[in-house]
Amino acid sequence: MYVLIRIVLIAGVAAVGIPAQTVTPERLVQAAEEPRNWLTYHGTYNAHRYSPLDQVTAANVRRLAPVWTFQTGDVQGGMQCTPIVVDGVMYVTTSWNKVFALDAATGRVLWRYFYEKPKQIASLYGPWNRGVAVGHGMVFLGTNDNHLVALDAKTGREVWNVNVEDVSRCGCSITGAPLVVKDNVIAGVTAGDSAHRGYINAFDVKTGRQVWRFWTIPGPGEPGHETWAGESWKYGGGSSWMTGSYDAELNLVYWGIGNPAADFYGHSRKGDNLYTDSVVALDPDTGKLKWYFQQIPHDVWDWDAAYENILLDLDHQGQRRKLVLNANKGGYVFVVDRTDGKFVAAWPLVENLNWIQGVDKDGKLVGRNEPPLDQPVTICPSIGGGRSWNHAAFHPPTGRLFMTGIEWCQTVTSRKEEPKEGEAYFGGEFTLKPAIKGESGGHFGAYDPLTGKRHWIYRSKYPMLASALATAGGLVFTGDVEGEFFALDISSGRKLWSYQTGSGLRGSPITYSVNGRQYIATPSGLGSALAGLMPQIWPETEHFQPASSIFAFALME
Amino acid sequence: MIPAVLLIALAAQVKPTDSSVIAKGSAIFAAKCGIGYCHGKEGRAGRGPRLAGRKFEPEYLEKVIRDGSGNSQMPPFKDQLSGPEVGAVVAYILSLTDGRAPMPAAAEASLSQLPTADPGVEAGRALFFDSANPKRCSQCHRYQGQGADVGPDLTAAASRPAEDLLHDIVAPDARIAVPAVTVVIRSGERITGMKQRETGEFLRIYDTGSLPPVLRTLYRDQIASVTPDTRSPMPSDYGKTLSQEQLQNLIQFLKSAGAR
Repeated sequence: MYVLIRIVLIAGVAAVGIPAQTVTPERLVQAAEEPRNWLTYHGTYNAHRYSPLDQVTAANVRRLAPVWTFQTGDVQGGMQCTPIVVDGVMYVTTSWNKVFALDAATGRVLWRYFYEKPKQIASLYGPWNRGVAVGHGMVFLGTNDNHLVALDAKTGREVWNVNVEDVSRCGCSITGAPLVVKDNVIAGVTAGDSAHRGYINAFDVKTGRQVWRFWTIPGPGEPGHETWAGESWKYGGGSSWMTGSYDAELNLVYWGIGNPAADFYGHSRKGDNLYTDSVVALDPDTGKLKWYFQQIPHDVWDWDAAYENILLDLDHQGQRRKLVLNANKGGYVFVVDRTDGKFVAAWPLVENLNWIQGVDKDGKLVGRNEPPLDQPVTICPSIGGGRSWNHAAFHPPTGRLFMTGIEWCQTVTSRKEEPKEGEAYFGGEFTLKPAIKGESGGHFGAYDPLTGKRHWIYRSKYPMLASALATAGGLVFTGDVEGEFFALDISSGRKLWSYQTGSGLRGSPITYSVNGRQYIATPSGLGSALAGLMPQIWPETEHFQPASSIFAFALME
Repeated sequence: MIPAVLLIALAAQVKPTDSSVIAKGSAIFAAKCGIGYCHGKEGRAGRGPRLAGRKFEPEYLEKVIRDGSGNSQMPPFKDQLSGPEVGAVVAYILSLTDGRAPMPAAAEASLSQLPTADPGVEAGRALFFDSANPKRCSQCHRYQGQGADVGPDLTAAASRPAEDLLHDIVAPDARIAVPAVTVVIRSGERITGMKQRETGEFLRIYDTGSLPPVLRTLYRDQIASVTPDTRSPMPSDYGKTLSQEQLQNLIQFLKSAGAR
């Protein structure tokens, strides 16, 4: 297999108001200072998904109307990306690693890059892609055959391409957006449900040469290796499938690590299984571990700590603290000190949660409910999570956190399984079941990030699979799997505006401006592993139509 | 009643337990059913149901494959697969029951003659493939379908004399299949490696100066000079970085033709 590329150069980057400047590392650190752009996966390194743009407000959002629509044509797996906007140019990815550069004001295509579809992907982890990173005049893309590719941001031409690890061997891939920090581009890897040993890699942005690798499972002689029995460390999962955050002042990258494998069968990997289900803080220059906080020692439920790491500076017990918040897939939100990894707080996001009784004042799990071997048991939430990866937003003016949650359960049977390198390694089976408390379904709430105190909640019939976007206009945007993209009032949670996009929302909305006009853009298109599980509880969702498009909205002029 | 799979198989004049039918079903399964988060490789479960190790009636499998399953994301394949192809997939899924394929007696008998894993071969395999080894061979070479296509495919190495293999590993510059080139680009950077492709517009070169190799695309207007090199693009220090025992293991593995 090798990679040939087809590049269709439609036009050079057109004049779109503000001349395109190279995105320097300094601009990435100062991204909040240029709200006209959406420069990194989470908008800013702190993963707030908040924009100070305030042209669209609670008072005028009724006048928000579609300005352009773009259809990628590749609907398999849904539209899961976060668009990136740099000086009037939007970069969008689709399943099967297609990249489009669009005029952000009109939706017109500037260039296309289609990565050659692998003949057979040996990876379990889907054809989807969640976005690119930009920096140093380039656009960086991870692929579903585990390559990292650098493109010229102006032309879409390939600059370099590195095969991180042979997909036919590892069963692994890159579905998350990379993260550019200084002169390195950092990328995670999937394969947490496979017999694979996870890692995070950094490559030199200019040359593509590997700068460092952090193994998410320590090897022989390294601290933490003793938390894996026998040879289990070689096949222990520990994926790094989402995108990290960065604190430039502390010079630390925060990355969430996924579950250990086999997912439901832990007898062959006795021990805490570091650094699975942990947030790790790494030196972005060397990949050296500064600290870790493990949320779930010896996970046997297929939870993950892989989701976004939100950097918060908040008062806690009378002291200003530098914190990092991470929602575990198991439905608990953990807050730790981001200077040293010390536990600060934890709170449950969902009502249907029975794998533990709680978390004590030191951050230790209380009352573990582990599935016994070969006996089906009910575990809540389901493998799809107390929430999915779709990201939360933090609104600094009110200090509120906006996050989805899912009420559902499953029957799990733990089974003994031998690892086979690069192949699925679940160690059990599962079937989704309705909620045991209240009604099954999704919700989206406004929370105090430290206490979990809920200010309001918006309920949806189905899991909500879109990320959130908070703005200085007093609005929070998100959407549902029935295709409605909507704006809620930050203070009350009241729905102020809604637009039917024609397919369920599974990506991440952003906002930006061109020539002084604020745009709100959202991917639309239902798909993904979790969307594939929904029919087990809601049979009608099987027929929810797929799509892959971007909608851009602005106030009617 | 004769199972549908048998009828289909008979129509195609094959037996569902023939290893060739199962192999055909396996290939179709890998391409259509094992991808993404569906049934997983060899039906070992993705986030769709596990098929391996479960008992099924062939008629049920045939119906679900042809018509899809109303209560799940399982799509109908009747427009994508012919009758015999559906039959082959059914035969393959049935062969996954208890992990044991109903193989013809001759194939069954040949199993007992398979050599058992040799520790030397296994150590060599790890040197070749183990991702924890930053200088693993598979970053550049392919062996029995796995690895990369930067350097030559080494599957055929099994038939070469051990002395030749040793020589090529420790002294790659002495006998070079494809010499390296050095490209200097206008920014001043020098890249030494293996030319992959050249057009009037660009030169594509594997930078083998660090591993994993990086495929660089250099446009003509970026290039200051291209100079042929007298050396091999392969690292020349394996004689130093590998112990004598490791070299032996590696050669033993290459000579084993992948036996396990």
